[in-house]
Amino acid sequence: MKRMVALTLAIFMVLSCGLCIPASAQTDASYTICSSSATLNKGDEPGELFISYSVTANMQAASLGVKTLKIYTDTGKLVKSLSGTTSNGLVEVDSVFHGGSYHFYVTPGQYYYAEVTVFAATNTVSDSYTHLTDTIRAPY
Amino acid sequence: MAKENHAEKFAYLDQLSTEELEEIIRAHMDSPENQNEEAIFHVLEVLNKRAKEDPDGIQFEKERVWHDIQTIYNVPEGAGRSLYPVDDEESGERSEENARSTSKAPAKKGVRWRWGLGVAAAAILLFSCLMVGAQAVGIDVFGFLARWTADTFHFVPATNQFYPEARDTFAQNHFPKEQAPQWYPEGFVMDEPKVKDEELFTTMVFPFFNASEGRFFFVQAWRYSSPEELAACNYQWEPGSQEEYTSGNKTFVIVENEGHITATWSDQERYVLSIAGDLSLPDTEKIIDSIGG
Repeated sequence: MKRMVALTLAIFMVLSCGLCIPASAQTDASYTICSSSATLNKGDEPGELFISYSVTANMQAASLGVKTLKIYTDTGKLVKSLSGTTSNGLVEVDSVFHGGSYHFYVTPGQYYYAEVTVFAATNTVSDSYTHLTDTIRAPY
Repeated sequence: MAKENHAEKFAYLDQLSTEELEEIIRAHMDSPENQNEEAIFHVLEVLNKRAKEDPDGIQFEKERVWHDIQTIYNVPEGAGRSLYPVDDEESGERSEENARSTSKAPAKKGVRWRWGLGVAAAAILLFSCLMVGAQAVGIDVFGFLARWTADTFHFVPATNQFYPEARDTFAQNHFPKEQAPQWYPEGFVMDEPKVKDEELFTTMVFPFFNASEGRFFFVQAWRYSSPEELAACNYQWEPGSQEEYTSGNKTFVIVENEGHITATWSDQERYVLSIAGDLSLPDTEKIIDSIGG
């Protein structure tokens, strides 16, 4: 009897996974975003890190770029957060592509990761995608 | 016999380079008083022969013709201009002369007439020769010619558009220029390419618009600083839409993305090439087929 229950549960779990994969993957399609990237990298100076990012739209977007940028320690403590604007250069208007680098300073020797949300918007539709970077150590 | 004499008489012209022969034709057109139609016709025969023997050798002519079309005629100021800038200058002078005195008779009318006939025949022969070559390498010359029959001259985007500017931009930014597609769908016009040279990547985006149908697509080329940076790029797509298309030595992954199509190739090291936007699958595959390298 226990074997039957275990087998039924196992079959149910496999089927659930099979159904869930396409459902979650559907979120990967985007009307406005074609591709995007965000990586966390070491700078040349002690404590210097930088985010390299890019976003390409499916069309001439009304605006696109970085929506929010958050820096965490490896323990999950938020140490830096900012929103993208045209003033800080993280957002561009009337373009199909935007990309660049954002430099900042943290405690040398500590480990950090970043959460970068990029977006592309027309006058009526806006989509976003969040990148979680690798954890790296800030240079001494 | 007469033919042999003719060939011997102008044998020295066969030894000249194509550029030098073209210079002779230009000099002839600039100085009608120094006429030597026999020599000019021999020059044209030599050029025609070389074009037939070596179609690739006239590649530079195709690029030059296209450059002239884009810089002289396909501009707002080009409306109504004649085929050669020198003709414009002359006609401008004539207009001024006419403004001063409309009764003034043209000088050397007979000589002008004979010279004009010779130049017209030469121009037709040379243009025919170049036209066949240009058509062979992808310029839709006949498509453009068809649109010259209207009362006013204007350019309309034609099938099989070829943009040497795209290849130039590839080369200027140290990308393999063979990777620039050579064919684009009918009705699309290329806008100014956007080039971004960043710390960890360089990318070029070539936007194409079809204003009448409200459609858009782009060609984007990437060069990354490392395979890791390349792998970090995420493409949006609808699961189940993925298929592969191979042309030459490149296999593109083609996906659907909310009504848009994205075709991407990568060497898995540094380079990525994408074609994306409001495109049909057959047109996307034809663009891919036109990529060399």
